[in-house]
Amino acid sequence: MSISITADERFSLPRRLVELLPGIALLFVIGFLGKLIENSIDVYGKTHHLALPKIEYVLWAILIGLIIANTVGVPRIFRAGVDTYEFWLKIGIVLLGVRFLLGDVLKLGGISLFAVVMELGIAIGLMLWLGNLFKLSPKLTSLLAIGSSICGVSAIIAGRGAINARDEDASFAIAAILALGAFGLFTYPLIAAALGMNDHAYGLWVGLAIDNTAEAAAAGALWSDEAGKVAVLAKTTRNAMIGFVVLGFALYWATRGQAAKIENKALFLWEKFPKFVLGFLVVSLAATFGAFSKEQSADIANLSRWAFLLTFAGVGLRTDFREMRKQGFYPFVVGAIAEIVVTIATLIMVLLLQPWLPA
Amino acid sequence: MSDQSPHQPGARLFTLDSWAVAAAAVFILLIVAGVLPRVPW
Repeated sequence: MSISITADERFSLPRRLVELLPGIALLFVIGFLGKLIENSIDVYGKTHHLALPKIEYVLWAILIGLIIANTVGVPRIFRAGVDTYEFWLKIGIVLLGVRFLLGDVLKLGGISLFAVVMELGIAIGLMLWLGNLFKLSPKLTSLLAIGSSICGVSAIIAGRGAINARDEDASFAIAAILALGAFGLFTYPLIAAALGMNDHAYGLWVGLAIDNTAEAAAAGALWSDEAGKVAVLAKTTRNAMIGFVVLGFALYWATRGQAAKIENKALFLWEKFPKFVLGFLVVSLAATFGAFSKEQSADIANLSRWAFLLTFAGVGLRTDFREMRKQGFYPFVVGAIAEIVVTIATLIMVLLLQPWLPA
Repeated sequence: MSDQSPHQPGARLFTLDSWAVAAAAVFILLIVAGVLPRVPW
């Protein structure tokens, strides 16, 4: 990630921060523009007594970002700052902990964990079978399996190092996961509306089915605030499993002499564990035990929403469909088939679990 | 969503996750201390 720094780089931190500012400002402008469009449509509908559909700012922010990224492209001066979208996502998730009492986390998280384990088995098994069928390179198949089962971009970055995959395989897997997630953003709400799903069921579904955390959060938030919350919790549960899946693939390739051996598996799991999940749990714990006043909780929750606003603007700006052309047709087909099957399988699972979800 | 090992070559002093958690903690402290103004949405 571009904002991580090494020991040698820390002395240039002020300069690095200045480099990030234009892109962060662009994220804010696009996100805020999305909010303005949402409010303007709302006001126009009320003024003219029209029943216009409520379209959340999330969709507008992503659309504006997609148009820029896929037409003129993101100018170089903005790129470093735009890459911080994942940083804002993680801040948003940690702060979102204030809106979950620990009991809710355990209940929804427990249901999510059960569904996540099922989803992992389906996604990994299917991707390996399809990769073999379409004769993709085994390591690209491994990356696509890691990405589609866990958490998209970050899982692929974690997996790339662990299994010594080629940079171009990782780049493609990332582009495929982001592009497929972008299609999901527009189709999932339509399917859910047709099926009459409630906020919790929809949030759980997109949290299970969409691979990139930012896109999963966006898909939930564009349905409703509550669905956004549940989507983030389900996706965070998936993210927490990253170490186990990457470890499994790393051990597989190590036994074939094509990846470094892992001496300390517990240390490996700890290193791969997403630490922001711990931050989320600590904030949820603090909120549960009344560490914050009502006003403070509201402020922390609103700050989380602003962090997500920057994230959602970045989702559109970081999705470049033109990247897909560079790798050919079959890897995309494999990714697309797997995503469709995972989407259907997780949808069936969520519909079966719906009686245990809050109304 | 992972931290890079401090034992690996090119290890990072601060990772994305640790920066994000630290930044969130600072925001919460500022709100609790009453330094930040009310945050509207």
